[in-house]
Amino acid sequence: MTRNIFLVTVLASLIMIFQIKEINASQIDVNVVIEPVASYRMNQLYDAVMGNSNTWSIDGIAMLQLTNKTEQLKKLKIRVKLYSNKISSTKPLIDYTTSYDHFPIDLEPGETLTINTKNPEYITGGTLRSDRSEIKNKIRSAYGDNPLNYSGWIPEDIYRYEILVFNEDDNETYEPIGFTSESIFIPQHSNSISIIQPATTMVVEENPVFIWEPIEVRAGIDITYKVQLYEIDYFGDTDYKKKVFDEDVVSSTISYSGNKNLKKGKVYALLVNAVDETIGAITSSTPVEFRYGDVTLPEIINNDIKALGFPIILSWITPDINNEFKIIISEDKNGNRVIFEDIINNRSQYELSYNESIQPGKKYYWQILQRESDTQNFIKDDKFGKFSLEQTIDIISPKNNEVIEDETMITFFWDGNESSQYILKISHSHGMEYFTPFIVNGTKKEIFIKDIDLTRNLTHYWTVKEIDEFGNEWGKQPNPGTFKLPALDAPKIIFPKNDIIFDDVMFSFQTLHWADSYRLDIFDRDDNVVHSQETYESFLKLNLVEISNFIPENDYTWKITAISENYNDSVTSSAGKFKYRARYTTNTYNDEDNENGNENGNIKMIRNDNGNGIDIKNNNEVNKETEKTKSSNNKKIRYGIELIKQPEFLTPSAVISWKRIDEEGVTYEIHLSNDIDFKNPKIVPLDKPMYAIERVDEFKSDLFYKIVILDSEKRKLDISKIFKISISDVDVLYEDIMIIYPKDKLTKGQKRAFVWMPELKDATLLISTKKNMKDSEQFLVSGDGINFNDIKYDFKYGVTYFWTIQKENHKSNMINKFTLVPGDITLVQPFNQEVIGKNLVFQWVSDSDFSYKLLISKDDNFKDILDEIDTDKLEHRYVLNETGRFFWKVKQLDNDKKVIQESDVSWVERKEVQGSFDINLRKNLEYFIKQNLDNDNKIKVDEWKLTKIQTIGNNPVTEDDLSYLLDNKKDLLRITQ
Amino acid sequence: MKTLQSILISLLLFSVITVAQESKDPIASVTMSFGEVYIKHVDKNDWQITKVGMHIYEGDKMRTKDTGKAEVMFINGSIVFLGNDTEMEFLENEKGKSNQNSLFLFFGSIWNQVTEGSDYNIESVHALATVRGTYFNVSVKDLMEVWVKEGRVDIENQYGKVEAEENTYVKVSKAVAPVLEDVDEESFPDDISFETDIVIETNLVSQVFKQEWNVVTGIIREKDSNMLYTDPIEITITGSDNLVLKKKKRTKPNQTIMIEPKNGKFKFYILAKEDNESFTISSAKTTSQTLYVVASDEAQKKDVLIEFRNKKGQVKRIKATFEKQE
Repeated sequence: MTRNIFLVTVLASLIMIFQIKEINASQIDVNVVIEPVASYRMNQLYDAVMGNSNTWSIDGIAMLQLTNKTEQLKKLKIRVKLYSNKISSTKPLIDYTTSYDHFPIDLEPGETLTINTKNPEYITGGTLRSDRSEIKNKIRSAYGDNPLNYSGWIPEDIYRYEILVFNEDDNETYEPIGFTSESIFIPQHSNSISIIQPATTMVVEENPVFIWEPIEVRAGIDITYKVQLYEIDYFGDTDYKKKVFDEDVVSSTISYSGNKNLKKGKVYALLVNAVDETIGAITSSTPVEFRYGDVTLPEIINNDIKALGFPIILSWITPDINNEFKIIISEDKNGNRVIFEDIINNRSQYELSYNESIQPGKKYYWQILQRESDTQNFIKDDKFGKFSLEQTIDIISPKNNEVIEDETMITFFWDGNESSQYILKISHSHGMEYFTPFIVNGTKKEIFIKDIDLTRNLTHYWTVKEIDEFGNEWGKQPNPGTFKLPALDAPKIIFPKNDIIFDDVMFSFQTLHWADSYRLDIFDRDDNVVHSQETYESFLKLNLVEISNFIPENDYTWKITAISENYNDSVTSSAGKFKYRARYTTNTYNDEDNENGNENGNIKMIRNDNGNGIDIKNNNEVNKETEKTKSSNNKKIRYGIELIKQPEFLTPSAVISWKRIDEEGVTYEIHLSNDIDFKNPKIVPLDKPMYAIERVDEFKSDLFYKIVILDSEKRKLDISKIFKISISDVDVLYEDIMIIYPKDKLTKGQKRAFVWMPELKDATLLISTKKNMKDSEQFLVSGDGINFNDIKYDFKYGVTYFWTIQKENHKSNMINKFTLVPGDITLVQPFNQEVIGKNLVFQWVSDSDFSYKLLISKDDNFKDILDEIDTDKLEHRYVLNETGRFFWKVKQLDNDKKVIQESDVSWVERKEVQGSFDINLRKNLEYFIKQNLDNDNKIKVDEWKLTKIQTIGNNPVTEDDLSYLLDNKKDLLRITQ
Repeated sequence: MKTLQSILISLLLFSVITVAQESKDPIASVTMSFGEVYIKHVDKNDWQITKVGMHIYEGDKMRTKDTGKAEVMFINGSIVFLGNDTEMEFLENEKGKSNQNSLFLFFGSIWNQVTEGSDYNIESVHALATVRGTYFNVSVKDLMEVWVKEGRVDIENQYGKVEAEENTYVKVSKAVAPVLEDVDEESFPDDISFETDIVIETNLVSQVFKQEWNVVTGIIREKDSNMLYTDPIEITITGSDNLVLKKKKRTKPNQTIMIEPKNGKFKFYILAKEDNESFTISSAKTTSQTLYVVASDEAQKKDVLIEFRNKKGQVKRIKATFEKQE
């Protein structure tokens, strides 16, 4: 091998000697001198190939001499080709032809001309035929990406120059009129400098000696070594800013002879570059670093700490503990991205307490520096310890399929790092294949339920994963926690449930605080929807006669669907049913078929547009109007109860019978009572239209009875008037007068008539607004009743009237009072009940054409009023912020805001959520929590109150626990805000 | 007296423009911003930091500092690139010329890419340059210089007019007529580039509630790698009218803050007072970016988790719910 190198070198040297060759049979002699190899610039080929220079191939020709051997003047151009044997011996690396126009070469016969190859006119303006990218590709495929960076030439290769001379107009593919060829060999040389001394990372000599291996270079190159020494901050520091020594030397050794002494403990980097004056930098050493002086630095003990939490103990050994140390913690192992520094004295360990920059699960690097007494600088070595804080991440709440009671939001809590960023994932599946992501800072996230696509009553899964500064997920993903939203309350129907209804009907239902609107669907027997309509109220008034789909005497069912846009949900009630019946007329005074408050449809109330009050149309008027719109095919039904046997006196085996109603499924009831008000009647269901009084002794006084007709669904079809059976023989001429109706409230659905018994002739009806009947108006009446319309008296809503009947020889002690009201007020919700949430709906059923005042009071006498709300609706949504029992009622108001009537009173009790906690404890806890929150936290202010305390986990928190916490604040582990 | 008249006229004009501003349509919007770039809307007294996406109206002015540059796109697609240390005004169009863009260049350098068929004028104290569909640069300092790369630009002042074709250069000052010269490509001023080696990436939480402080974290990294950029850099963050910022939890809120990232990372806090707010992040080394914040309604209920040890040393947890009282 050595021999081969020697032969090649000799051959190369021979070739490199200045050579002159003649070309045979040429018109032009061409003499060329190639520059010595040693003087080739290292980057020459590199520049050419990379496109940095156009001149390199010509530059390499030291001298070019042409002699005209002809008898003519020659106008010439020169073509230069350069081949690399290793790349291609046939295709030149470079192929350049001078331009005669740009660089004219004129040779007289016999003249010899030396071309100045450095002349810019010569080396530019010609034609360059070589394809740089092709050459580049070839070099790359042969030698890798960048073989030229170091030497500039492909080493150990023969490069051949060809010089071709043409007449100025010749095609260059013709034979040249002059030609010569010349080759050079580029040998291999060292590509780095090895520093021999310093051989260790510590140097103690006063003036250190630096030694390196001399490099091998091409013959003719004079190497100078440039020796540079830099002071650096630490081992591995590449920031060479502080040069302390810079000398040139021909030999391969030098002693430090800088102006200043090297500093004890400091780290230095030595660099040696080999340079040739002609061709520039040849090669260089890698830096060699050393610490100057005999310094014993602290040594890190455990260099790979895996801590479970703070504080993290960082320890080291030091020969001299009486010193000052500096701790530096960085994110990278080079110590560049420093996140923490601290200085301590006379210690060999450091307790790193909580630091928000330290993220669990990540690796951190630390160094211990020691103060050097002479220079007062902190000295460090290249040793790093590393530590990591175990990543803590776990689901706290909600979990175990927790039912989320809160209607607006869910708060997710997890164990983790307050200063980290997480991705919170919520999914319908345990595998979390598809999830809704939320980017969160810290370990808590409140999410409005409306903002997530959740299905009620279905288990949902959630988990978290930490994300790094680049937004990438990393670390552990805990097993998902589970939760579900409770099913929403279903709306409840109020009326009709199982009723016979007539043309006008008010469908009413119990509203829900979560619903925005309601849809009423009415179905026929085959479950086809015959009518569907939306409402925002707690009722829907329909006139069935105006809806062609309704057929009298048919049965229907209906449902109400509560809809919430906010919850993106809807829930449907169970069904109510009704039979639709066209209104029938009656002139019976005792027509009390709506005595139970079912006034719907019997009387139509219309609020005048002119504001003068309310027009009232009685049944007859309504039905007359209805008839106009109803199809004539509609059958009208009238049930009359015709007594067949009507005993006058109470005797054993007395029988009451009446005419059978010829309709399938019809049954009867007889209501028996000793008082005419039927306060506690005996109700006997009957299949047949008769009743036999079996025991006489159970009745102590006169017996009153009435008969009720029921259909197959037990719905009331008709009620008879009241009859009496006397307990003993009484002279009808002196019979006591019993006044029957109206009494208490007379609603617009009820018959407007005065009814009494017995039948009288020319009796006096007295009506007064005063209890003592003073200033009463008197009317002469006969029979057992009289319609309001048959007397001239101006009845008004909300006024209490007193009335009686007087007749000579008839005892009459009874005075009835009644108030004319549009309709009863029935309180719906909250009705004597306890509630947990603060969002309430106060709802009542009454006439929707009137306005109301809702009163909420702390006492049942309504002296300590909490709130008064005026409304035109039959409900009011209310936020009850206080806990405890409250009473409520509504007042019905007329147009002048005068009270027509008041409802009964109901109560609602808002329970303490965690009622077992003492109120003072709660207040103290509220104060305690606020004290421990950040100043920024919005709930620190007074208007935010602690309203609920809930144990998280399986370990119930007791009052004692909380009292203990308040007394022992040190035991507070954390507050996640 | 003349000054007084000018002031009066200006005041009158200002009031008219202020009233009109509400009803006017924008003529352009800021599509790119880099470093310190300011805008002064015609109806405002103050210069404010430019946001990407911001609308520009007739009469508005823009200014770049020595680190700033910006790209503005007109409704008709023409683009003006503002170089460093430049100030210009978007002039009012002539009536009935909706496809016209007129600028007044006070000083500095702008590149203009003009949509073919549009009417594009650049005015300075020295001359007026009128253009139809071209790419050219105008610089104004002691004189006005115009380099035409593509198309044709007419430059005129009271002393004369020249028609500058492709690869020509015109210099003109207010005291002399424009002078036209041929110029080779290498002499053209550099294009205004918004290419950067580093980028700022910001992480904002998924949901922001109104009236609550929210952390915004971010990094500065090298564009083509995942390496954090750790060299010193100053970042300016400016909030919209109803968004305030602060550097740290305990510092005072402000409309604009300046932060110096540490190890390529930064963090600051925002509080949105209204639904739709934004903040703009800019630096001398990165393209400005504006982040839009859609804030949810203020929560009326907040849960707090408390973890503590009881008497027996057991770890207990409660969720304490706070509700805002009406």
